[in-house]
Amino acid sequence: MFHFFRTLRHNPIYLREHGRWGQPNRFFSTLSRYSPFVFMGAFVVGICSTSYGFPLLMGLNSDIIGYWLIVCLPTFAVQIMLLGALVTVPTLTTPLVSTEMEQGTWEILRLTPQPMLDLLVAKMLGALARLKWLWVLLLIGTFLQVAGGALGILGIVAIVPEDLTEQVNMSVLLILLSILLVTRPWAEIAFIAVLGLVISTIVRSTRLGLATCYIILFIVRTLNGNFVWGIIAILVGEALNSESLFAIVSLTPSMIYLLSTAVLMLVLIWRANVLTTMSNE
Amino acid sequence: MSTIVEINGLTKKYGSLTALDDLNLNIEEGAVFGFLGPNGAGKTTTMRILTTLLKPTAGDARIGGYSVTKNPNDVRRLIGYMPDFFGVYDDMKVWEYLDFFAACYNVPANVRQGMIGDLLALVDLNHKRDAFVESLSRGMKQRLCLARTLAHDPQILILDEPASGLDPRARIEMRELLRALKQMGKTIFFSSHILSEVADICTSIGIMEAGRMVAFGDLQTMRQQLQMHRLIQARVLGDITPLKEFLLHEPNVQSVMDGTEVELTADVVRFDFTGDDEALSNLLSRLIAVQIPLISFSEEMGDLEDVFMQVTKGIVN
Repeated sequence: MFHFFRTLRHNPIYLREHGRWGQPNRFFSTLSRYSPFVFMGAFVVGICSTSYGFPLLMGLNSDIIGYWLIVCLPTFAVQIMLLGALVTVPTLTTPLVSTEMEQGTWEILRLTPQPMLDLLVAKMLGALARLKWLWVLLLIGTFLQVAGGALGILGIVAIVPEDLTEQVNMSVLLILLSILLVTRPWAEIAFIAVLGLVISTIVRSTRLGLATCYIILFIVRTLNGNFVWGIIAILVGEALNSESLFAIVSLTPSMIYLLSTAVLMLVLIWRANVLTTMSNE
Repeated sequence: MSTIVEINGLTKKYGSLTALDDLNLNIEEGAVFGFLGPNGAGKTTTMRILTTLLKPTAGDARIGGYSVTKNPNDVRRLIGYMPDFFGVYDDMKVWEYLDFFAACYNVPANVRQGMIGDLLALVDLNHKRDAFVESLSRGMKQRLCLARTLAHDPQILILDEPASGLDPRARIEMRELLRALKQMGKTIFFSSHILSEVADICTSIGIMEAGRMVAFGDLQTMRQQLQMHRLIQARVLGDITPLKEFLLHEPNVQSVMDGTEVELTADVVRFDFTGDDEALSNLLSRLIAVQIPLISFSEEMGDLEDVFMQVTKGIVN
């Protein structure tokens, strides 16, 4: 695996998806033409999806609104970029194998000496590497989130210096929040990228694969949101204190995305094995 | 010459349908093997098993000594495969297409540049080097795909219907290309529906029907094995009646036809002869001895089409 990542920049499969030889993905090219609209949509949805969280957070302590803004503004920016990525990433990873099958090049590619799992992962990474600017912005957003979290902790220490227990509780809460903020976008993107690739190895039609991927994305995002988990936590955990409730609401979605990604990786390994061993069809 | 392809008891079943039934076949290194048969005979199934793309239900095949089921990676290094329905990356330029596949086969970058030029020259596509693949004609795409199969310098080429869908000129160009590859010492295993094409360039032929090999060998041997009776044509000076009467009393002659029965000129007689070369020679001697004025006496050689029609029954899986 180390060798694979060390030589990735020379891997022809990675380079092909990255655009060294031709433009392999017409779905992504089409979407790219409409990218301003995608990000305008993401901006509107981003406002809607993050706005409910602001008063809740501010309501905990109105004195630290300034610190929350430091946390919330990068979060808002990250949310917009995340939504843009979630719309874009399926068009990058879902066509990876199914398009090859459609155009009759998959068998030719299968006969090259590239190990199947390497081939699939190189394809996925090569395709994702095309969103260079997005990764840079997401990294900046993540950095600002971490910085905001750190400032928040300092703020708590400054505001409630006499109560150590309260300081610790608030700091833990902020650390949990920071973990959520930092990992959630990446976990979601990893989930949807691997999901797209797994679907691509199963379906024979890219359009069907894309439709499947977007439907699953919509269902998972709806059911695995903070709002739904908040209701669940309130319904089943009446005895929990507010910190525990907040931790559950904050961390569960990220945990579910990370676990789902791990499961999808196992499915991908299985699919790679199926595609490597000779077909019985 | 050593055997490069060994097929032993290869069987492939799809549920209750037997696509390939206990196929046995050996092909020598450097041979050009033509694989014939009606649609659904099992040709593509055989080729897909040989290229490690399909798992046999029973039996095994070895290419260059490597088993297609146990050592698929070693087999893949030895073969260049062009499928019946082959795809090309339309978004690439011609040179990029070859460069990409050569890179996939781990050909070093400094070797690839020279190799691309050589391959394009071989398939006569040098003038299209910077053209996009989608702008090529079908014949050109077919030749480009063939060049791609050569990118890693394989020992054996497995080509499924390489000339299908081509116009006559492109077909002739493809045939010439296969001849050039034969001269380069490549072993070529290809299927075709165009019998004249197979007869022209193949050193050996296999005819499949309903998953079974119904005939195998070089064309000459196959013709001799299959033609239990031979068709002889004799032309005489003047009246053909004495010749017809003589032949009717010959034990090895089965039927005598003249211009009134089949499309022949008035001075020609055609007859079925069941004897061997010695019996045929004796017959000719006796005809001369009884002073029948023969102008010509020759055996009509059946072509591959006759052989094909004789060994196949039109059974389709």
